[in-house]
Amino acid sequence: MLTIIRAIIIVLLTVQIGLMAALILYIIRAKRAERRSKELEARWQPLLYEYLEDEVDIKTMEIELAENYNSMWNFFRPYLDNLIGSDREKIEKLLQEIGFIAHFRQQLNSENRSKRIRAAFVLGKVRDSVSLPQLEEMLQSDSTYEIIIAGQAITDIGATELVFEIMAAFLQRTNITFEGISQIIINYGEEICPPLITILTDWLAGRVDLEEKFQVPAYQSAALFVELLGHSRYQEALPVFEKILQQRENEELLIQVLKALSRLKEPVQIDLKPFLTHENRVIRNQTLKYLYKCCQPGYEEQIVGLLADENWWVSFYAAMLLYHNGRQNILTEIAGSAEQGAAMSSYILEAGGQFEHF
Amino acid sequence: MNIFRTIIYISIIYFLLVNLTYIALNLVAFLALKKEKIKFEVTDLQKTFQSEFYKPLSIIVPAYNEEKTITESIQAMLSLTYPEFEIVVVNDGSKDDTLKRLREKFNLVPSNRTNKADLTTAKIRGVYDSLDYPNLVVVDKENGGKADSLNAGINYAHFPLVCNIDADSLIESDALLRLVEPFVEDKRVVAAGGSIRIANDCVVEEGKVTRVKLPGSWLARLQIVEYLRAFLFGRVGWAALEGLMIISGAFGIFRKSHLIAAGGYSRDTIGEDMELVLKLNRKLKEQGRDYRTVFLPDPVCWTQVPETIKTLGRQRRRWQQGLGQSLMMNKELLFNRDYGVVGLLAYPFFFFGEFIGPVIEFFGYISLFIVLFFGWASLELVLTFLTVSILLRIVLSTLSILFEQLTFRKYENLRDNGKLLLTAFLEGFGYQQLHMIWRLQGLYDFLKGKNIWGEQQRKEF
Repeated sequence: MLTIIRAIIIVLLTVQIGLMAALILYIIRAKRAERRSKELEARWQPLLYEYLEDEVDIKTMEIELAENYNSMWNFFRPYLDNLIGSDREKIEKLLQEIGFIAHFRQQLNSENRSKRIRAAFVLGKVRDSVSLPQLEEMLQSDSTYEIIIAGQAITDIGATELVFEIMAAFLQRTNITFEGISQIIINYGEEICPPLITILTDWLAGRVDLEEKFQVPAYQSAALFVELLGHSRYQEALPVFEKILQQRENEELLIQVLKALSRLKEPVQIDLKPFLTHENRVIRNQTLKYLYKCCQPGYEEQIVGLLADENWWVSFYAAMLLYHNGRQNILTEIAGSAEQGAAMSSYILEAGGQFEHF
Repeated sequence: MNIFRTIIYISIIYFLLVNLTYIALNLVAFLALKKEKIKFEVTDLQKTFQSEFYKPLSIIVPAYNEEKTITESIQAMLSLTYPEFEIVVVNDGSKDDTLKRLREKFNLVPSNRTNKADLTTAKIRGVYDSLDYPNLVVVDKENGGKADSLNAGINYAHFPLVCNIDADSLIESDALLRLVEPFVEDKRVVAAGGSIRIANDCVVEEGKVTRVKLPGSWLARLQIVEYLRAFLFGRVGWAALEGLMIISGAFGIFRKSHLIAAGGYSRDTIGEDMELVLKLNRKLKEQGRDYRTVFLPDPVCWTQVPETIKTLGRQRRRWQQGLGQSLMMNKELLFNRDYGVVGLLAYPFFFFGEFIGPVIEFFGYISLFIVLFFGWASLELVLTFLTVSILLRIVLSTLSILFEQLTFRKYENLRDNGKLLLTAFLEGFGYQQLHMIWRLQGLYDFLKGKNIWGEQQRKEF
């Protein structure tokens, strides 16, 4: 017994000494790396400015940067995050010429997942279109995070032709939320809107089966496209939105369209009364919000009727809409009467229509 | 003789099982931290901050007699980096000038805000908006305890995610962005917790920790080592195994709908944070939902810890009592495979390792003395066994200090790390035994149903 315990002590002592040595070594190395990184930054920064001013050529830069790719990435990342236009293009050209991009392309094939993820992220930042086939392949990975980073890199590069492939991978093979997908897809900028309108038009005309394409209920992917169009405030989407409102097939989709319309702030050419009287309170709410943002004549009677809605929020939004569209007199009249909606009218009038988050 | 020998054998088996679990947790945590580090590196927080798709967040800050730190803490929270958030401060019937300080500093006026959920709470005395900060709301209520305050905050919160933060805590500026990230990346996530670090003696400017320093007090340093162990391998390890049972009451984010569906924080326990996570696990499993609770080691919340034996002792007694209450309120989880890793591994570990652990440890010590006294075992054997026990703890603590270096490096220099190592070494000589006594007292309080309420003397940051 004693011998076993003694052996355990020896093992533990060895482990402890090993851990302490590792800790000391790591701290010394980390300090040294930090110091070196600061030195490099101090040296590289003026040089980079000279390069951007065409005072230094790529060859000189190459000699100075000397294949120090990890430090280079730390140094260039803030510039790649923040610069646009010709300066950014010059940096991308520089990174191309000095072998930085080739290095990370190679890392994209690494056996090590962490290296692949990092490489995909870097290549997205430098908008390297050559690595698109590998990034596309990464969308088939069994790792959620690898799929997400690959999708993000493709959107950074701006390959709009792969947008539906990215969405299919996200929807079928990850648990990412719709907000997360939107956040990544929106990287494309406005260029993504035409393909989204095309697919929605084809879906509405029965030429595309969204459910088959994305393996989720059709309304979910359609709602995602609508949200992205709304986020981009893409005016050309208006006819598609009107068509969806006319078809009135899915309530979730209707809600997304009404939200997108609130962002567009453009009047629609269809009758909104069915939505103001819709049995779903969220639809009634969103229609009121849209009308608040983009006031249109002809709905006053319905809005006044909604003051007495069974749902508190609908009645609240109806009162707020009237208050902020110069119809305070209606609220004053109802507040002083015994009509339903009197309490809400008084409530809004007393608060002067000032509520947070409206 | 036999009975003592049996006790010693039980103690040894118990000791082996607990420590093997710790070693396994360390391995799992190491792999999880490696994964987390690469994620940390490739997360584009700047883009995230500008995104309109980020989920808005309600920060709930319960405050009881916090007049010394409340305005500075709230000021710091108001400058957090997050696209859209509100702060709901709940004054839990403070006896000092907490409300007065808030009123004066933030220009409070009566609010129109209404109760949006139906969680039962003590009587609400008033709700106030700030004229200077549109995203600040103060709920003033009669005293009902921390859980009651959190429930009141949930009732008045507007947004789908709620974050509970202690009034005396300081959140790192991008911590919220990092902690919300899992809710965007994975729709199954219902709760996320971040790390708590110790702010005693750190340099704080405008509500932000600008320089991390090791505290001068040995007691605070001992707690640093404990916190590193608890967060960097305990919680990281359990979360990686899908067995997370606690999200600290000082810093965690939850989906509000799930909190309300679970009935909010339980007012019958002083361990409301742990009880909530257990209850969520239980209810979501019963509903057959695919869900996740996650822990992220990097989003950091800084807090002050007790620097006197008396206050620390009371805190640990309370924690032990809260642990017992939370476990008992969810006892159906024990060895129940329907609840997955939580039921089969995490709950039994917390029950046998953390809850009744001090009893076994206590009897272990007593038995060692008895067998020594009667000469049933040699002094050498007893001392070697004690050496193993202390060494193992030192190794585990050193591993946590190493993990901290490999990942987030809050304590950067060699000297501070040397001091931490020394603290880890000294922990086994006195502090560990004292801790066992506090836990035993907590267990006694639990059995007696005696509630020990603790108030910590706050220092201004």
